[in-house]
Amino acid sequence: MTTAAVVYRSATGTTRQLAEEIGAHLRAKGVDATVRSVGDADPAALATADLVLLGCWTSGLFVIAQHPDEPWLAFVRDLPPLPNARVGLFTTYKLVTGSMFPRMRAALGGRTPHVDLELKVRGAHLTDAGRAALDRFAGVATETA
Amino acid sequence: MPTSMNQVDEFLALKRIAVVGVSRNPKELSYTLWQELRQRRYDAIPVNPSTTEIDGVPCYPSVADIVPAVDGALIVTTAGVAEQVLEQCAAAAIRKVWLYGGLGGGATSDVTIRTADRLGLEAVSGLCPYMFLPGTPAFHVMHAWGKKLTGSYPKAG
Repeated sequence: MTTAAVVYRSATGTTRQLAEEIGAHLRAKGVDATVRSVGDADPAALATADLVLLGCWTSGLFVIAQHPDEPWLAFVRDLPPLPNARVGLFTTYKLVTGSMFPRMRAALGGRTPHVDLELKVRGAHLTDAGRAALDRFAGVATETA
Repeated sequence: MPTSMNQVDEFLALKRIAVVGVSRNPKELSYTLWQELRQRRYDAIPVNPSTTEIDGVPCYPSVADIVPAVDGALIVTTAGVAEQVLEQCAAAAIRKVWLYGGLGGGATSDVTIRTADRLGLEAVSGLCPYMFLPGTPAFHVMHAWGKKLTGSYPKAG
């Protein structure tokens, strides 16, 4: 069974809610997904996951200088190399994500050869497009209406 | 005596902290503050006599019940309840406490400050921990600026 580790950093609960939706969606598709905060997750344990999804709320000054905040960066600094996992990033935002994903990718450095998903959600809930992107990322089938 | 920056730094350098008065409601400040500390890798232990767990984490009725003991206690109750919590902290040999202060006063009052002093506790009072956490959200940065403008931000020493 495919395994997924969803790890989030949430300041107000919005990103946590999204992370839980992502985990629930993956489980519904037959993926063994765990959802933990950056405070609870063991960075070393991510080395064995097939899918790694790392999420953080978008911090910034209205429409400039968007960045992941310190608790997320601290967690990523402790991550081992993830050469075999498919790695995805997600964020919640209110206005724009701007430099959020570039900064998240930069923080990952050489731990992963590439990032396979960048998912941004305004608010806390997955959209249909977001679910479809997750399905492609996880290599599972998407239901069509 | 006003809280100094050293007292703030010393409290935030603790690893295992009781958070007294954590609500089960994720919209309450006490809950988000507890989660914030957990996400910053503090061993933050919830204390609330009304429940035995919050989000699957064991919750204790009193600081005296926590084993192993905590290094300090962040008190996010009303000032009335905080008086009793301070007595419990002293009895449990918890010397460092933080009397949350924010909108509406929180756990800080003249009485709780005097009680902490009488019990020989090292108390941070009238302040919100969010203001001092690295990379804290903008709202809390603005709160700190407001404190600096009014001269109520802790000074070095």
